[in-house]
Amino acid sequence: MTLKLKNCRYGVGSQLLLEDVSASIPSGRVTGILGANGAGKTSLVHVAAGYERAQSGAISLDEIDLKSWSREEKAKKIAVLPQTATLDFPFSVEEVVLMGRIPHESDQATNRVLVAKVLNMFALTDFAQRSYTSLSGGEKQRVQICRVVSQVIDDLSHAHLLFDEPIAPLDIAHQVAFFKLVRDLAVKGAAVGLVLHDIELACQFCDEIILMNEGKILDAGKPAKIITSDSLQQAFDVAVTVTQGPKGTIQLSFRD
Amino acid sequence: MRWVMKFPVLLIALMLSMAMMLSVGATEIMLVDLLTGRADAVSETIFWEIRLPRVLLAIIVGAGVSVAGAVIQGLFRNPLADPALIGVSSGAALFAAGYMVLDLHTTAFGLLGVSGSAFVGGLLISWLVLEIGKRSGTVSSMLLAGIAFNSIAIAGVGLFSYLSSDLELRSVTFWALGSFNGADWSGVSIALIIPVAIVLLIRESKNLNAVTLGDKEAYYLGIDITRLRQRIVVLTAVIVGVGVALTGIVAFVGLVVPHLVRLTSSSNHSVVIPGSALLGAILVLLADGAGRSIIAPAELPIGILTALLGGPFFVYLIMRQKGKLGI
Repeated sequence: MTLKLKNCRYGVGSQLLLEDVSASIPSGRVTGILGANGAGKTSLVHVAAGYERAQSGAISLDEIDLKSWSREEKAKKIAVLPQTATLDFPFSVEEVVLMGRIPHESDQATNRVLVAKVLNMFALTDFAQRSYTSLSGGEKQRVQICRVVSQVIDDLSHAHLLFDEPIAPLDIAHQVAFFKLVRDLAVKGAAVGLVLHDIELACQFCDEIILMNEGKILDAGKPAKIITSDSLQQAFDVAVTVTQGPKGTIQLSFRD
Repeated sequence: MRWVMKFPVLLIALMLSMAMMLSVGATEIMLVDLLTGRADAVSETIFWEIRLPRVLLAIIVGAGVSVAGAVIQGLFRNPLADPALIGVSSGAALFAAGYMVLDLHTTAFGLLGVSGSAFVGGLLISWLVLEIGKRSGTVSSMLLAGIAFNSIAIAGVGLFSYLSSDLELRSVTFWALGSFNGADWSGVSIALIIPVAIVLLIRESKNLNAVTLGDKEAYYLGIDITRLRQRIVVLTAVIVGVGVALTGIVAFVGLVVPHLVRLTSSSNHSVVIPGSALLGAILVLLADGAGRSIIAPAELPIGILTALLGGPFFVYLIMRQKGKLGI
């Protein structure tokens, strides 16, 4: 149950955004996608999930070419949270999360039970009847995360969850809660891909890291192996010392 | 105010409004007399040939323009959107004005009549807006194309008004302000396509909910956005095109009614669409009743009434519900 890209190339107009990209988001793992602004992280997510078409290369979902999956079947297996979710209608929180169940034929009662379960996972049960438009930015993001999780909650072993910068609007407690949530989903078999900017949190909570630079994959593998002073210098053009800590944690100190 | 928007309450209100509007007018008709066969022949004729088709047309068109507003707001992800944004009303107005002022009834267009020309104009302009939106692929470019075509069509109506004789100007103006005055059974039978379109739109509720999240989000929920957009625009154009063709422009209803439903019940389109249909039918029916009573025996065009009442009420809602609309 892996989402795989092989030698993918993607561009808009004359601008090349992904060049010869091969990567995989395997099930049971949390994969962090890191890189500077404009490195191609978001393009990687949208090409991998089929919203954008690669000009060359191949993408496979469960070893089958992504193009041969129907739109509906794909939506049952790949759930994506794009970077900027805007919703200007006063839906209730429960209604928003219920939208995650649109690809499924399950009845409304089942859907509501699943949604209640997901809201509980992210401590949003008390928010269920609140109006979405009255929420703060961080609260809205938590609701959107729940919507995306509810899309695949009934079959996590075949689920692929891709989140583009999910933790940016969240406070530190909810950032940690988010990582615990996705780790738990990965333990249950889901393939999780996260576009992140916080390198320290990525090293602590991700099993794998894909480091990108200028539309290419710089390196991919275990965080401890990938995140080094040299690789960060290359990817972000910053001078930084990486200190390894216990349980895979790292600390970054920036040099002049 | 939530209870007001429950479907049974709305249904009962619609029945009562219908009974009232069938009775009142220049000639008072007692429905009881009619049902028991005690009404005179004149009353019967007025009831069957004038009042019943008028009431039915007001219900159908009121429901239609409100549903059109609801789905266009969902499609454009903007609670301030209006069916006019896809150019359908102004396109219809342009072709109707052109027909009247250019004396097209003497040409091949004569077969279409004013109503037919309006319908064709509405469809043509919304098709152009849809095509431009399809080429650039975004909802905002479709919206901008709509604004551009609206301005062009309105300028065209202005030009035709300028060129028209006094008599023509009066009919162009009266028609552009909306009226159910000419309602007859042939109009009602043509309008029956509107309930069909409403039912088809109700079936798109889930998809419309998903679209409010954003194009990418809807794609990831398995929805073919381009096809959905086509279906919504075509159905809306049919509803508004037929509506405008038969009764002229009934302003503000498509904007205000879905708002009222959202503010008082839910944003879920499976509630908003049928709720807007019922509430829109009631409000347009009552507005038509008011229009033919206020300055009786003369009639006030319904478009003036709906805009005069709907406009300030809309402003009041915006002020009161600050923040809740998410605008």
